[in-house]
Amino acid sequence: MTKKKNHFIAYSTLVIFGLYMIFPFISTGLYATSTAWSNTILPEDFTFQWFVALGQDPNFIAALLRSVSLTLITLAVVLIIMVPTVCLVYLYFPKVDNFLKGLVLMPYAIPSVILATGLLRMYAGSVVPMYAVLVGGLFIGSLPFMYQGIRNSLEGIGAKSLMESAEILGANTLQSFLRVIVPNIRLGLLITTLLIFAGFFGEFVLTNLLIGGNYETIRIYMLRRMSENGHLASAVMVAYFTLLLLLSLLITRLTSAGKVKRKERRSKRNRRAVGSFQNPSETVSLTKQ
Amino acid sequence: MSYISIDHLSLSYGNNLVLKDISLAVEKGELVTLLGPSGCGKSTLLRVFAGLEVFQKGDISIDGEIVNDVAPKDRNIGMVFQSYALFPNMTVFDNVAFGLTIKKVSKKEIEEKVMNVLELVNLADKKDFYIHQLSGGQQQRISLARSLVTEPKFLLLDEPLSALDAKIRKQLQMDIRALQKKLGITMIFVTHDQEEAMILSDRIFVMNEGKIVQDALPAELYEKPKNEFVAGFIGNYNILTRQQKQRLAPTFSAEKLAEKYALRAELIKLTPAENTETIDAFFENYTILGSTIRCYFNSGGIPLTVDVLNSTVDVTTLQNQTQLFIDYRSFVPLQS
Repeated sequence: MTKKKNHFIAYSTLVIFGLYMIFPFISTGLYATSTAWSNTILPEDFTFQWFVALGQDPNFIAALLRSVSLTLITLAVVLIIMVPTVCLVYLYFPKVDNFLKGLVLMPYAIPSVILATGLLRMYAGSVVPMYAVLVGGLFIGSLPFMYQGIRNSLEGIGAKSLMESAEILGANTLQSFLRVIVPNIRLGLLITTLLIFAGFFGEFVLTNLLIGGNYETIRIYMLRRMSENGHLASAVMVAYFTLLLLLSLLITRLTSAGKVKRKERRSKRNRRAVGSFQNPSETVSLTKQ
Repeated sequence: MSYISIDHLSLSYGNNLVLKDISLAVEKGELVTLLGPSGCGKSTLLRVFAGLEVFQKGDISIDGEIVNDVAPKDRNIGMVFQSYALFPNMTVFDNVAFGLTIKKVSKKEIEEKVMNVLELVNLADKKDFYIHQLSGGQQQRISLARSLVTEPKFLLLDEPLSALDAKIRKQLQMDIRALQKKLGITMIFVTHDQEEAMILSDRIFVMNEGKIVQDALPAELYEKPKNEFVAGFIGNYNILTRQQKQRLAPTFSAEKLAEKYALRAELIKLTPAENTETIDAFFENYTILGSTIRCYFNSGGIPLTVDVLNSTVDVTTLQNQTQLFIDYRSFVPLQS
């Protein structure tokens, strides 16, 4: 009885949590597909006119492309610079690692407005384009996730032993890094990448203050349209979330799926061929002739 | 000239001197053990052989060549780690083949060599498995295979069996020894387990606080520990002060006077034997260890541990034991 009761409570909690999370999405979706919804439980009609309007608005497509390009460029910069840096620091400079662990938390302490003001004062009118300054600012903002994410992955796989083991087997540092470390931290990297991807894509304050005037990203566009029409704003929200979801799925697929699935399939096939590995010949002598 | 030698080597981390003026030599085909408690510097010394630690003083030479500044990848050695350090992203075959692919050996030769070494460790049927699909013992055997396949000059083993359960550990101890003898490969084995060291080694280097305190054959080490630390670490010795020894054996005078003496627990007898002298003692307690029984006696305030074969004693009669019998020559003087 007690067990059943516990299950009931667990499932109820899960259902309530699920509803709490999904309800805003459903209602936003319903609002985005209607023209009138005031004193009824469900909307009075159903239409795609807001999505059509959105699709026909060249500013929406442009904003979308700007957001995607800004996010991907920043992500590329972050990954290319941070992954080798964190690996080097973690593996070879433990003292610097201790220092950086604290330092990378600093962006949490600096509100985006302060960061943007500081960057504007420093770079406004300088030769450095504001786009590059924005990429740099977003880079700094991603440090806590990126540093800790990669570092935890390295710790999780025992990267130091793996590197040493590869080097003793004759590999140089680059070979060890590319053939042993990177493939093994791929999952951790993917999760971290998705985290900061969503963060970059939805970033508003820094983008708006630094280059918002002449570079309308999707979030700035959303804010502008929200004040015009509630239904349209909901359509923008739905489009935004759908897009984020699709891009996340795409990143997941590109960085992990193919190779892992192929390997798993090959492994499963072999397991079937040699029988269950649950029957290891543990006590069979190594040198049994 | 020895095959591998270390000459007056010192290593420190900042102000912390970890290895203190170490000198040792290993001959070709030998299996030597670095034995000592945690933190004694044995793993650090092993890493020095591998080129993974930077030392400040001394020389290390392999096969007649000083290799102080040679990178690990160029030393042509093998190493088996306590944590196995196998590559989770690769199959068993790819793990073992890794060293050969780095050396750009032909595919055909890689296939042949990898399968040979997998046969050697009896895991050829697991070649396409991933590491997480293997048990701890199997993983360590793959690690051994991966180290052997490149035909290294010698093999370093850093507490390779300590994460395994007792049964598999014992089996692998025998297997490693048999493999070493079969291939004639030089091995340096690190362990904190004195029994493991005794089973495996041709020679044992006992380490404490960054120094080698004794270098001896296993039997010699057991019979003649050099000092109190070795006696305490190697076996179940009774450590007696000079005064205590004098009280137990007043007529015995050792060749060299020492402040402390070791007396092996199994050399104290419950019944008279040849050349034994009698001492009065009363029985306090006993513990059954399996094939032996460890008895605790007290002789005039001196606690004595006595090991007897389980089959030779009836524990119910131990209460009646009032005398013990010692051959005075069993006392081993210890250096201070």
